[in-house]
Amino acid sequence: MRDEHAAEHAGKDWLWLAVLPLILFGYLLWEISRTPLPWQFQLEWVPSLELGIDLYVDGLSAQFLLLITGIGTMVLVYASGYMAHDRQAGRFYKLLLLFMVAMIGAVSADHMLVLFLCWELTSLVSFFLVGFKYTDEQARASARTALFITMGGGLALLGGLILLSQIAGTWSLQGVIAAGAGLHDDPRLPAALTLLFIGCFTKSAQFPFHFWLPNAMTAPTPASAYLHSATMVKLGVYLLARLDPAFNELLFWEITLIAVGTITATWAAVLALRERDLKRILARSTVSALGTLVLLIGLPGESSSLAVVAFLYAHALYKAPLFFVAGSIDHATGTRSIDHLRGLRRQMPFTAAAAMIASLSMAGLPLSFGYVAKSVASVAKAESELMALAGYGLLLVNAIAVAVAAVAAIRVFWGPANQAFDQVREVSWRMVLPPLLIAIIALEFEFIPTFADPVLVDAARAISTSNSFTPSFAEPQAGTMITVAEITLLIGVLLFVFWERLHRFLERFSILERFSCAGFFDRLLKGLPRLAAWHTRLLQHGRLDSYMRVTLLAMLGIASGAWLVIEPGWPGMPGDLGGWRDQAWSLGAAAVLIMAGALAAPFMHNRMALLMSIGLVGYGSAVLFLFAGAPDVAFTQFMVETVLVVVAVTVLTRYGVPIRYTEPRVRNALIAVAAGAGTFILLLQMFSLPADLGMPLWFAEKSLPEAYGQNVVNVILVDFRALDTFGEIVVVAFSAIAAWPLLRRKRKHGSNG
Amino acid sequence: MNHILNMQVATPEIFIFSMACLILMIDLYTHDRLPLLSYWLTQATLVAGIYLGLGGMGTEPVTTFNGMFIHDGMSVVVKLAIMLFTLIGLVYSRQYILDRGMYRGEYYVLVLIAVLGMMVMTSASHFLSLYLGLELLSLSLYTLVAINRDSDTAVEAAMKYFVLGAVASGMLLYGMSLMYGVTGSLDIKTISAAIQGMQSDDVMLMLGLIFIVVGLGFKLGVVPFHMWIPDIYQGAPTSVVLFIATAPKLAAFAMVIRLLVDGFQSIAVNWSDMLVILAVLSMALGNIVAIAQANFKRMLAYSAISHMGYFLLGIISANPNGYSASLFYMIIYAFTGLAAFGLILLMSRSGFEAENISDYRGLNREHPWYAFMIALVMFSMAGLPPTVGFYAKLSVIQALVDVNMISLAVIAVLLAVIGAFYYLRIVKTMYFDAPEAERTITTGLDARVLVSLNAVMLLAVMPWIGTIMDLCMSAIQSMG
Repeated sequence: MRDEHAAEHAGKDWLWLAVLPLILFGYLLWEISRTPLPWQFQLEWVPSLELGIDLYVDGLSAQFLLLITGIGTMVLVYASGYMAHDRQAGRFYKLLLLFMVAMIGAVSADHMLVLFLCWELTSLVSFFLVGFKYTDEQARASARTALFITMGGGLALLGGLILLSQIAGTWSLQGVIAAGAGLHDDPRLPAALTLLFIGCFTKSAQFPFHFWLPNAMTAPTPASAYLHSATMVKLGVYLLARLDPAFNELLFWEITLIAVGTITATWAAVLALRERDLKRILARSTVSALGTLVLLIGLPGESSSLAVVAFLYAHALYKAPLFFVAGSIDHATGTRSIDHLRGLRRQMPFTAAAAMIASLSMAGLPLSFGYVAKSVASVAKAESELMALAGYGLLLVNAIAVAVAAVAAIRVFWGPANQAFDQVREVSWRMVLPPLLIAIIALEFEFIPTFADPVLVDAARAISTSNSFTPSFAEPQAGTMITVAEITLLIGVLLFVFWERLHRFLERFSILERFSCAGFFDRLLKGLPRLAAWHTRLLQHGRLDSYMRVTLLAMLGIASGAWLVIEPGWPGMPGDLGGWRDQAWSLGAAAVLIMAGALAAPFMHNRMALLMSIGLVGYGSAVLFLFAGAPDVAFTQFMVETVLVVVAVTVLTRYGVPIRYTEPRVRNALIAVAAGAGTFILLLQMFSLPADLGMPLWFAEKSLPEAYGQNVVNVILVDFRALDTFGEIVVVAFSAIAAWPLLRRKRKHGSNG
Repeated sequence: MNHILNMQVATPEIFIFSMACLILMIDLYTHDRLPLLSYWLTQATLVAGIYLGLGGMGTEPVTTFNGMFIHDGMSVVVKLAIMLFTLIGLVYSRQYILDRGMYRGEYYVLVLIAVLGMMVMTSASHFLSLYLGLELLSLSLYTLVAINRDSDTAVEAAMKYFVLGAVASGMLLYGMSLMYGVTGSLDIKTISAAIQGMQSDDVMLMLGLIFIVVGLGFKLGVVPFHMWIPDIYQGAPTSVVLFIATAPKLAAFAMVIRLLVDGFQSIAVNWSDMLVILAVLSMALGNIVAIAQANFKRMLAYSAISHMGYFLLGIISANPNGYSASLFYMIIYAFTGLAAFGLILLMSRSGFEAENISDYRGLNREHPWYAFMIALVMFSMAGLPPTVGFYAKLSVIQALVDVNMISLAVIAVLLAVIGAFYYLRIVKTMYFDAPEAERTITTGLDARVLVSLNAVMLLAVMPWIGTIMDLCMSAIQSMG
C-alpha cells in the first residue's frame, strides 16, 4: 500500500510550485522600484525574552532576497525535470520550500536571535538534503559531517550573538552597526568576534572548516546549486558583510578575514585540480569563491563593498547554471567523471550553450558580468596596501577559475565524441531553460547596466562604512587591469592544457588527505565514542565498591582542595580534653582494639576474618563509649556489632559467596588512610568551635524537678521524647511483623528446594 | 506569626498524605474486584492536589509549623509542576505497569508518598523538614525501583541506589551538623542571618558547605557523584525511571534553592565556585559518554547528567535572574523527559522493552507520527531551535553571560555541540535505518494523545513559553 502511495507521487508534476517564488520575485522587483529601501517590520513574539520578529530589509537583504526567490524559481523548474522519476520528489520539494522560508527569514531578520533561528533551520534542511539518498552510506556520512560543522558553528554563532548583544545592549543588528566603533574597546569583543567568525566560517566553508562542502555534493543537484552554491553557503558572507561597517576599522577583523579568505581561496583552488568529479570540481571552486568574498569583505577600502556585492551576484549567476549543467550531464549520461565526458555538444547543444556563457563569466572574460565583478575587485585591491602577498594568491585563484571554467565548457562539450554516449539525448526543456536563462540574465547585466545597477549600488551602500559613499562602476585604469587579466588568462589556459599532468602530480600527495582537516574531523568523530567506551570500562562498570571509591576520592579531593585554598593552618591540639588521664588505661585499651581491627582489615584474604576484624573496630568503640560514661550506647553498639557479624556470616554462607576474596588492597588502604586522616583533621577543627551547652544543661536542670528522674538519658527517652520513643517501638514492631511472613516463606522455600 | 500553626497553607500536603493512607487501605479490600480503582483514585488525588495548590497562587509568603514550613511563590510553582508531571507520568505508565504485573496498590501509594516528600522538601525552611522530605522521597524511590522483585537488574539497581543514596544523605547530614556547629541553629533563616558577616576563611563553615554541596551533587546526580544514575536508569522499570527523571528533578531544584540561596546566599562566591567544577564535569562527561551507549535509557541517563550541569549554570550566576533561568530549565527538562520516557513506554509492550537504540530502527516507516514525536524530543533535549530546549539552554547561558562568566558559557555551548551528536543519532536511526521487526502499539488512547500533545508542545512557536518564563521569574521574585 505504501508503494502505491509512492507511485502516485512519482506521477505528480510539481512544476506549479515554482509559481510561488516567482510571484515573490516579481513582487520584490515591483516593490523595490516603488518603495525606497530600507523596509522595516516588527511583531512581538516572546516578550519575556525580548524576542520579536523584527525584520529589516536594506539593499544587501534585497539583493539576497532577489537571489533566493529568483534562483529558487529556476531551481524548482529544474528540479521538476531532474526529480521527475524520483518517488521522493514530494519530500524534496517540501524541504526546498522550507529552506526558502528559512533563508528569507535569515537575510531579512534584524533581531539577532531570529537570524540565528533561521540560520540553524537552513543547516537542518541542508542536512536532510545532503542525506537525501539515505540508502547511500557516503551520503549519510556527508550529511552528518555537514550538520556537525554547520550546526556546531551555528551554536558558536549564537554565543557570539549573545555576547554582541550584551556589549551593544541591543538585539538589533542595525543597533549593533549603529553602535559601531563605540564597541571596539570592550574587552569582551574579541571573544564575541571569534565566536562569530567560527559561525560564519563554518557556514561559508572557510578554512579549516571547508571540507564539508565538497562532501555535501551527495545532495541532488538542484539542491547543490541552490543551497551549496547560490544561497545558504553565502549566509556567512552575508553576516560578515552586514557587520563589516561596525568592525571594519578593527585590525583583528581585517587581518582575520583577509588571512582566512586568502588561505581558503588558494587552498580550495589547488584542491580543485585534484578532483575528477565535475560536481566536486565546481564545489571546490565555490569554496574558493567564498574565500575571495571573505577576503574582499576584509579589505578596508570603500570600493571593496561594491566589489563584494558585484562578485557575490556574479558568482551566484554563473555557478548555479554550471551546477545545473553538471546535473544535466549526470542525468543524461549517468556519470560526472571528467575522464569519460567529452564531445557532448553534439548531443546536448543547449546545455553546452548555457555552459559556454556561464563559463565566460566565471573566467571573467570581457562581455560577461564576471568581467565587471573582476574589474571592481581589482580596483578594491589596488586601494589596499595589505594586498601585496594576497595578490599573488588571488592571481592563482583566478587562473584556476579560468581553468575550471574551461573544463566545464570546453573539455566536456568539445573534442572527439565518446562512443559510449551515442544514445544520449538532450534533457527536457525544464532542465535546459534554467541554466540558459540565468546565464543570459548575467550577460544582460553587462549590456544593460541600468537594470542591475540600482540594486547593486543599494547593496553596496548598505555595507559600506560611510554614509556618503556613492559607488559606481567606473572603468578601472585600463593599463594595469588588462595586464593582470591577460596574465591570469594565460596562466589559466596553461593550467587547462596541463590539467592532466598537474592532476597526476597532485594525486601523488595522498598525504594531503591524511593530514587534512577532514581527516582530523574524522578521527575526532571516531575518537569520542572510543573515549566514552574507555570511560565506561574504567569507571561505569556497575560495581558498587568502585563507585564508593570514586565518591570517597572526590570528596577527599574537594575537601583538600578547599583546605588548600583557605589555608587555615594546622589545627592545634586541643588543650583541655576533660581529664582523660584518669582513664588512660581503659581508653588506651579501646584505642588498641580499634587500631588492631583497622590495621588488620587490609591484610585479610578471608571474608570471615575480615568481618571479625571490622567487628573488632566496633567493639573497640563500644569500649570507648563504656568508659566515656554512656553504658547504654555501649551496649547498643555491642549488640549491633554482634548482630551485624552474625547476619553477614549467615548471608555469606547461605548464598555461597566464596570465602576468599581479592580486592585492590593497597589502593583501598591508601584511600582509607586518607579519609581517616581527613576526618581526624576535621575532628581537631571541631574543637575550635564554641560548645553549645544549651540543650544538655536544660535537660540536666529539668529532669529531676519536672520529670522526677535521676537518669537524664532515661528521662529524655521516656518522658521528654516519649512520643518519639513510642514511634520507634511501633516501627520496630511493624518491621518484625512484616519480616515474619517473609522469613516463613523463605523457610518453606528452603525445605521445598 | 512564626509560631502560629497555620495548617491552611499545607492543605495540599495534608490532603495527599491522607489520600495515600486511604488508598493503601482501599486497595487492600478492592484490589481483586476493582483493580484500576487505586490508579483512578491516585489521579483524582493529584488533580485535587493541583486544585488545592492553585489556591495558594499569588499569596504572601507564610512560615508555619514553628518555622519548619514555608509557603511562597517558588514553592507553589514547583509543587504544581511536581503534581502535574507525576499525573502525566502515571497516565503514560499505566499500560506498562499492567503489562508487567507490577500493578499493585503500593505502586501508587509509594508515588503519592514520594510526591508528598518532594512537596515537603520544596516548602522546607528548616534543615530537619528538608531532610525529612528528602528521605521520604528517597525511600519511596528505592522501593519503587525494586517494585519488580523478580527482576535481578531492578533489585541490583535498587541496592546501588540505596547504598549510594545513603552515603549522600550521610554527607548532607554531616554538612548540616557542621552548620549547626557553626551557627547553633538548624533554621535556614537563622543560619542565613548568622553567617552574614562570616568570611570564606572560616574553615568549619567551608567544610560544612562542602559536605552540603556534595550531598546536593549526589541527589542531583552531577559528576563525580553521578555513578548511580546510569545503572538506575537502565536497571529500573521504565515507568519508575520516568518518575525519577521528572518530578524529583524539580524537588532537587527546590532543595538547591532552599539550601544555597535561602541559607547561604551571603557566601555565594564560594559555592558557585564549587558548582562550576561540578557543572563543567557533568556537561563534559554526560555529553561525551552518552555517545557510546547502545541502550536508550542509559543514554538518557547520561543526558540527564549533562542536563544537570546546564541546570547548575543558572544557579552559578547567583542572582535571581539565574535562579529563574534554572527553574525554567528544570521545568522544561522535566517536561521533555516526560515526553521522552512516555514515548519509550509507548513503544514498549508486553514482553518487549523498547530500550535499545536499535529497537528504533526505521520507526519512521511504520509510525511516522511517533518517529516525528521522538525527533522533536531529541531536538529539544539537544537544545536545537525552534524547540523549547533551545530557550532553556539560551536562558541559562544568558544568565552566565550577564555575570560575565564568558568562558564557562563558551564551554557550555561547545559541549552542547558534542551533545547534539547522540541525540541526532536517534533521529538518524529512526529515519535512515532499515526496520528490523514489526512494532505494534498497545498503549491506550489517553496516553497516546497526551504524549503527542506533550511532544508537540516542545515546539516553541506557541506563546506559552513566555508565560512559563514569567511564572518562573515571579516565583523567584516572590521568595523575598
